[in-house]
Amino acid sequence: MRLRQGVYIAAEDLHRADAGGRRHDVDCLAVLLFLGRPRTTVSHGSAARLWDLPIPSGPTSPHRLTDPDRWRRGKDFLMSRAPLAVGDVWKAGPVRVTSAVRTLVDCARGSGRWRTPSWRWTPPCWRGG
Amino acid sequence: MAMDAALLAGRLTADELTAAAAAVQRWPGAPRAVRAAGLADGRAESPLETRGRLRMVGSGFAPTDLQVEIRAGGRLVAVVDAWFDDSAVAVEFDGRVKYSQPWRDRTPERVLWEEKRREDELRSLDIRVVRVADADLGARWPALERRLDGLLATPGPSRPRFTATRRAAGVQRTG
Repeated sequence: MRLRQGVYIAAEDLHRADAGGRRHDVDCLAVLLFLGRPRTTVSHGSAARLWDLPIPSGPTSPHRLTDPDRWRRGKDFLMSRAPLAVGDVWKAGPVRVTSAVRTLVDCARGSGRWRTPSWRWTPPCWRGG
Repeated sequence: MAMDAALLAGRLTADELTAAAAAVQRWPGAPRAVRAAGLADGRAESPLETRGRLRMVGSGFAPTDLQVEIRAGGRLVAVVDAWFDDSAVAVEFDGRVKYSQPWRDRTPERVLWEEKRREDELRSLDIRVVRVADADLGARWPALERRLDGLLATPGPSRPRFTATRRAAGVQRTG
């Protein structure tokens, strides 16, 4: 079965991934294979899902990627350009994924869904204590 | 919320989180990341605790500590989610799942009974207890904020019959 241009998977493997809740992993690998860039890394909310971090409900696409050399937007993916230090990248089998700590920081930087509350953020004085 | 969960799970340390946020301080959105890292606390044991704590912080309430052990007569009476020492006010974040899917093989009825007995005992020690449910964090928050304000305006007992001790880490509930 065709996942992306030039990326195919056996139907039974896809079925197994769906049944095992691993479809996101497969989709991440597919977009990496499609791009064929050695340093492109799954990042932001897409990495959070791979790390099994809590994710608010809502759309899970586009797949978020980071590449140190270029940005690109394509079908169902968004690749940001940003530095990736050695410790920022983990390998999960064939998938490059940002480290848990880098993932959390990227999510906090980049998405309103992960913002902390800002109401009355700078109180005139602390109460209680 | 995700930062709290990752800290609670021991996937990273607060220092690592702070360093990572500092490393991107010139990048877009960095202030949000720095603020989130500064507020992250691995003692929050549930998303409700995280959101409730941030709600309190956003309203200017600064709990003395989170996950505080209350002991009386050398016995552990309760571990409260947030604690205001000067006024002896305990805040409990009350998720429904605690009752509908109790952990440690307890029945919902038993959890409810134990919660009641625990709160009775806290009150008997002159500790005021505020329970915060998910619904309180929305439109009902101003009412709860007023209540907390009132409670915190009153000092706790001058000669407390209990001790309040900070727990070093939260406990991950695995069912």
